[in-house]
Amino acid sequence: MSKITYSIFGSSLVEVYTGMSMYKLLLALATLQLTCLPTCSLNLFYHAYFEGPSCPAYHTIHTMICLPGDQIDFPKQDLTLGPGFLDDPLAADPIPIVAGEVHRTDPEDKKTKNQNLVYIDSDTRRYIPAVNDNVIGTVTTRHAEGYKVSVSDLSPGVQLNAMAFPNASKKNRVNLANDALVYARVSSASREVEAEIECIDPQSGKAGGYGELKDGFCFDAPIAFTRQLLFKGHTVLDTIGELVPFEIAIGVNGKIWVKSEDVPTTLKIYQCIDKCREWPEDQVRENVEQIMSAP
Amino acid sequence: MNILNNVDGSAKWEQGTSVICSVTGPIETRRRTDEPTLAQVELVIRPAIGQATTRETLIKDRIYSVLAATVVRNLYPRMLLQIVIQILEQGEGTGYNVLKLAACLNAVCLALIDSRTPMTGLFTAVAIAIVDDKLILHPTRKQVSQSTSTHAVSYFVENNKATGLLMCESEGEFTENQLFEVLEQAARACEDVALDMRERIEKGVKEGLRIDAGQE
Repeated sequence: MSKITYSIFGSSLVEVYTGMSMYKLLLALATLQLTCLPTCSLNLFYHAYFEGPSCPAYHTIHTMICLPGDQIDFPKQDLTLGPGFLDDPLAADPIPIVAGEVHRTDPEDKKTKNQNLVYIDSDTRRYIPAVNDNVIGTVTTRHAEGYKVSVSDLSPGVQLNAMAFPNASKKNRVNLANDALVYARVSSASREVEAEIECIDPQSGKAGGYGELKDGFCFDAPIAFTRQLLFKGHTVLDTIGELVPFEIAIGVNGKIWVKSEDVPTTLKIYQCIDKCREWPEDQVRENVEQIMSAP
Repeated sequence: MNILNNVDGSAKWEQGTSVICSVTGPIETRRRTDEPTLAQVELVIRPAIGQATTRETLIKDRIYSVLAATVVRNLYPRMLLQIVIQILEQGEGTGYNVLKLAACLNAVCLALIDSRTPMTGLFTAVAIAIVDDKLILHPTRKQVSQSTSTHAVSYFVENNKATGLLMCESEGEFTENQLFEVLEQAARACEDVALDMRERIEKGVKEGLRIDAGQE
């Protein structure tokens, strides 16, 4: 039997632009005062912000490629802005600020709470923490209250509190060594302060697959690919699972950890996942079998 | 686009000269140098031959002024955006900066887009030389050295339309009317450059989101 330790957070959502909205409100108020408009129509300046993982995997009804500054035709009312959009209080409409695929969700869809959500999906090479993302990090420093964990090279580290483990107490602490790998959920991510991660599943209060990743092998993958692997899945995982038992943890910060009974098998699984983007879907099984049966 | 593996964004631009640009960021700053509310932009220019001189500092200064108007810096406070430009070919005689400046700006724009750095729009640049009272877009090395004046002009491009002048660096003798003519033509040329960029970016975006080889 294969055990696939990944969980999908489709409905629990996160705030992406918290700091921004305060700044916007202040600016909007300043604009109102300057122009001496009646202060009744604040909503004109204020769009809702999407709260969700760094790239939601919702069914979308509209996709196109956009560049920063492009004008995008969508209904402006009740719009919820996701990653990739900037709502400048001085500009008329929200504008895209990165290049990527624009997605708009179906307002009839119950899964998205009938939100009229727009976001931009694109491949990046630097991970920016967003709440509810599942990430794989490396412990870089240990201190009195917990650990400092690196989720992306050269990026500022994130905090992992010693109490952010199931059943943790002052006496019962999880002991992680430097360079230990942890699978965790981003619990708070704000631009102004350091991001925090935790190893507790918020729905059950238990480990839920999070925690230290012992042994195994961790490798880098394109961030967009890890997202697709985690949210939508890929035939390559099912195919490998049919052949050998293995464990996998996918971090949307572009890191994948695999573990199986022995090192050669683990490396073969790594090869399959690493190369599967180059294979057409109907050849996945053939290629996986070829790699896995190699001596 | 996307030619270097160990950085977050990179691009190469060839037009008269050849320039490679890489972008890393947002990354952690050294505590002493960070800004509390904005991302800090660090620019390094490496010339084709020898050490960076005042000429590179001049190009750097011009690029900073363009970046200040386009990059959304308040999204990543206390972070650092590191941009490194390597000039591969001079493309013009010593004493001239026009081709290099235009190529650097275009390379920086593409690399920033590739790294998904938040920007309010594209910026593109063109080099123009005036030879015998005639305007020449994208001049060659010979035309630059024969010219009476050279101009590097950068425009802010939104929706494929040049909407704002970001930078105009002119050298030599020219009249007011000639300058207006230069700005007029440069705006159209910048729009063309932006269209060319759009094609390259769209290709890059599709490639990045591809999940298997069969997918279009």
